[in-house]
Amino acid sequence: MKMEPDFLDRYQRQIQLSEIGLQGQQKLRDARILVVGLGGLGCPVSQYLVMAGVGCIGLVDGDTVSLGNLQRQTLYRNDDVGKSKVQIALQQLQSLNPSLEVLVFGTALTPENSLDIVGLFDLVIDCTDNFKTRYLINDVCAQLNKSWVYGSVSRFEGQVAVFNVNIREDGKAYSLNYRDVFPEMPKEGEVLACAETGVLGSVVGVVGSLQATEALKYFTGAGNLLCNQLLTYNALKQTLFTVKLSQ
Amino acid sequence: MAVLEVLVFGQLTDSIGGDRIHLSYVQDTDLFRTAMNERFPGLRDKTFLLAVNQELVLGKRILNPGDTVALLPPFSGG
Repeated sequence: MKMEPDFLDRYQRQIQLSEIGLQGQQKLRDARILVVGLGGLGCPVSQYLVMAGVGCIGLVDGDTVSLGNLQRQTLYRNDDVGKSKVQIALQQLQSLNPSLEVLVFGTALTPENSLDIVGLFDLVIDCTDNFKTRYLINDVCAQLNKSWVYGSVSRFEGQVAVFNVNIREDGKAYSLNYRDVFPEMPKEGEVLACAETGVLGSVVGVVGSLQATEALKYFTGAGNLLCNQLLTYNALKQTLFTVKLSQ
Repeated sequence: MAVLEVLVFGQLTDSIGGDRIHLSYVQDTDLFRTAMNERFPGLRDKTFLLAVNQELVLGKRILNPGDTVALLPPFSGG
């Protein structure tokens, strides 16, 4: 297998980990991951994935950078206000790790484009800020038999889970998906968004880091995935609460 | 007196006025929902999953005195 000249140097700290090793690192190089939403979660998620050597990463977001984003969205700088998020992210991520492929989609994920976009990737990471897109990700992933990493924040808390994981060798059984846990989309205005409730940037960073970690575990096989489990992180108490999700 | 420990997450804490309460023991999760809705009317229209002793409950389940029941709403922010 052909390796870039700096492959071993760049990823030495990961390759040293027995749960990852050279084989795991090569799996990451072959991985294709879609990040939906480039806000407080999507920034650290995409940064950690690119730094970890994920071979191809897709970025979906139709927004531009605003001043209020800079409190927590780690890819953007003052001068980027008003510019396209995916274009700035593309530049930043390529400068972090030039040998990897970054595909950008400067649009929201919609019922019209979701099958085509999601179909290009092996795993989806939900970094969205709304239920409509989250249920769309869930339904498209269920249709295409793809796994996805859920993450979301509320004030000082965050939730993380991995949904729709193939849990049998013949590919005929999957772990629970989001609709199994929350069958109905909450009503408009029932669950307030961060814009209305506030959020601490570092807490979003923790939740994004947990999501990126699950994605890296998914491809390398390290440890146990958060599938059929829902993790809640509470920053005020610094506690983790896990709920087992059974069929 | 036999009680249930109730843990509340996310914005549901606004409806309860805190993140942990004790509720007098009731026999199953249907009665639990009724008792909670009566005591905290703000919960009535809310979406959340119910977990008993950290296991998701879909439908009705028998409760034992001392069980921990968690109310977890879906989060929205990203």
